[in-house]
Order: sequence, then structure tokens, then C-alpha cells
Amino acid sequence: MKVSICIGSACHLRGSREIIQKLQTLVKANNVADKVDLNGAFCSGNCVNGVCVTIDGELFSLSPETTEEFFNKEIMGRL
Amino acid sequence: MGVTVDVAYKSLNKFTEILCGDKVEILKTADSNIMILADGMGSGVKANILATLTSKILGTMFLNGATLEECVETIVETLPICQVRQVAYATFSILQVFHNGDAYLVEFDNPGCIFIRNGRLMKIPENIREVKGKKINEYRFQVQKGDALLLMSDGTIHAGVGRLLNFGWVWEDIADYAVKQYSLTISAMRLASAVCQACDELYEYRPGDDTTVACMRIISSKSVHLMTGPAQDASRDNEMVRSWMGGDDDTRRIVCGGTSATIVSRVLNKSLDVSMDYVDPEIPPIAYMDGIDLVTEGVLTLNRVLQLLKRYVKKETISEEFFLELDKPNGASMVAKMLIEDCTELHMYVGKAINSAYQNPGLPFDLGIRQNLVEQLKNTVEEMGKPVTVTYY
Repeated sequence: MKVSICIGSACHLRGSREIIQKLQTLVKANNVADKVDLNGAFCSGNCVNGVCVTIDGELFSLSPETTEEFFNKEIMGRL
Repeated sequence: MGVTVDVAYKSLNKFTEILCGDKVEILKTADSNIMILADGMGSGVKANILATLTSKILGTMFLNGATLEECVETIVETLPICQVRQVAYATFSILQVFHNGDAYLVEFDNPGCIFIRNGRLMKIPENIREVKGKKINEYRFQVQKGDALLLMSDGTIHAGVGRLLNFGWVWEDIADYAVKQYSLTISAMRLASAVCQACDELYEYRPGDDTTVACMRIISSKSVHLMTGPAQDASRDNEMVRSWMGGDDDTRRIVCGGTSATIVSRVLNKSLDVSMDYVDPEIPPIAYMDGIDLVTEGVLTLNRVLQLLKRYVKKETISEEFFLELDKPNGASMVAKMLIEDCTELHMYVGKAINSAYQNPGLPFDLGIRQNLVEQLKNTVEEMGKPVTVTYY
């Protein structure tokens, strides 16, 4: 599974760094590093709604607060 | 051969003095670059005035084609006479390098010029001529690419005298040190700073005399092409990328902006590999693209680049710490380093498209300031003595 997190200007200001750190920690803690491939990405063109994260091309808008919920539901839910 | 030079200098003021009694003038004529270092007698205001007058007179007269005799005569007759010592006095060195590679060195009473070629110290022959009672050494030679020439005030050779070193830092040892530093950097500023920093340490950070090191390095010309922002009219994306990709084999190419990088990736059909490595919490990570020297985020990175360059042009604030900052692997330091150390002219390709998501008052930083940043960047790089062009799309 390929998960890309936008690190463009607007997403950066909305907390890309924190989201990346949280996801990296969660992936490690759940022992799914071999299944989840975390990547950086540039602008996905949906800057208004939050930090853009895509799972195999499907777009989600996150904030640091919703990251854990997103991980449990969308990432773990698909494995 | 078309000779380009990188010129920089660094001064330390005598401890407790606000003004420096050494003065460096850097000038350009249609066919040459000139670097002049004058050291006024004494310290403080008096020395500063003597050094300023000397360097300005030499510079202005040289620019207008006066002979050495005329210059020296003018200085002797113009400088105010010191009430304590009853003489008017400032030592000076002049280095002029022509675009065809001819070089002319004039030295009066400063420590000798350190001339380094291919990592070895070159001897400057003695050729003394007396002008108006002053013994002046002249040397005409040809420069080569890579040569480094350092002019110094006598604060360098007096460093540490009577404290850490019995006789100060002797010329031969300074030259050895400069030769060692020569191989570590291609930057004139780093070389000048390194020698100056060593003097400061020998003085135990309390310089007993004004200390100045001015460096000229002979380099080949290197253009940097910097692209930032998508074109206002997306149909011009191709044209913008093609112009930015122009230049020769030595041209360095930077793209600052996530959307811009995506456009480049599409137009050139090259994949973009975005890193997640937050080496600096404030600066978004960089990305990689085959054949492109540097890919970074846009406005936040450029804002930091501008801060770094502004520190650089304000010479007083440059220290080892500044260069450590410049060596950091974040996007902004990497762009600034390239503009400072690996660039003789800058061409910017700037898109005027407005990203609607940036017009959001909820964001903690105004991202809609690209054009303002570009203008400031242009002025600052020009202050560094490098020509800049900006093309808007």
C-alpha cells in the first residue's frame, strides 16, 4: 500500500511534519512497515481542506488530530 | 580566456573599537575587477578616515585611468597629517585582474599578497620602485582558473603577539594555513573568513589591531537558473520550463515550489521523488529529479534563503556559525549556498499564477508573497555583485 503525504507549502503549514511523524510511529508500532510504504509528495491540488494524503491514489484530507483515526480506519482497515 | 572572479573580505575591529581602520574597495571596470585594501595608521575614527580616503582615492583614480605615480602623489598630498606622529600614512595593496587574464598587483607596506595556484604557494618576485619616497612593489602576471589571491592588513601577522605567539602569526605560517584552507573551499568568502577567524582565535577574541583579509578567486562563470511558481497562463508552462532548461553544461538548475516541480516533472517526463526527511522543522523537505540540481518547496524555503543572503551581504554578521548554517542539508541552506558559492549570475523564471488555497487568512504565514520575495532576492543577489535577470510568466 502506497501512502503519500503532501509536504507542499500550504500542507506544511497545516502540519505535514507532525502527521508524517505520527504515521511513521504508528506504522512501526503496528509492525506493518513491510505493507505500508510512506512517501512524501508535492501538491495534489486540494490544498484548501487540510493536509493531502493519498492511499494508492485515493485522496484524504487530514489534520494532526485526525491522523490516528485515519490510520486505524483507512490504513489498518485496508490491510 | 574570459576571467570571472569571486571577491570577498572579512574584517575584525581592534578590540573595543566601533570602526575599522582597514578599508576594502571592490570595483568593476568594463574590462577588469579591482580589489583595494588600505590600512590607516592607528585605530578608530582616525584610521578609518585615512583608510577610507586612501582606498577611495586609489579606486576613483584607477577607474579613470590614472597612473600609479599620480595616485600616490594625490594620496600623499591629500591625507590629513596625524598630530601625534606628524605624518599622513596608510598602507595599501591593489589587485587588478583583467578579463583577458592579465593581472597587476601593487603593494605598499602591507604584508605580502598570498598567491595560491593549484594548491601551492606561488612566489611574488621583488620589483620595488620608489614613488614619491615610498617603496612600492609591482608585479604583472597572468592568472589561471582556480587561483586564489589574498590581501591582508598587518593585524593578521600581529595576531597573538606576546601572548599565544612570541612574534605574532608569521607570514609563512599564515600562507601555509591559507594553502590548507584553499583545498577545502572554492569560495572567496570562506577562505577570507577562515584566515580571519584563525586570527581572532590567536588574539583570544580581543584583536589588538584591525585585521582584514580580502580574497579574490579566479573562477569560471557559472549561471544558476531558478524557477519558481506556475505560469499565470498554464499554456505557457512548456515555454517556461524550456527557457529554464536552457544554458550550457555548467548551468545549475533549481526549482522552488511543489507545483512548479510537478510541472517540470510533467514537461520533461522525469519522475519526482519527494523526501519525507524533515531536517529542519520549519523548512519542508526537498525532492529529487534526475538531472536537476535542486528541487525544493517554494515560498517558505525562499523566505529563509532571503534571510540567509541578507545576513551574508551584511558582512559583520558572517562567522563560522553562518557557514555551518549554510552547510545544513535543508532546502533553504542548499539554495543559499549555491547562490553564494557556486553562482556568478542568476536567472529567475517566475510564474505569476495565484494559488487560491494560499489566499487563506487561516494560515499562519502569508504564502501569497512570491513576487515580493523574488524582488528582494534579486536586489540582495545584485548587492552580492552578481547580475540577475527575472522573467515573469
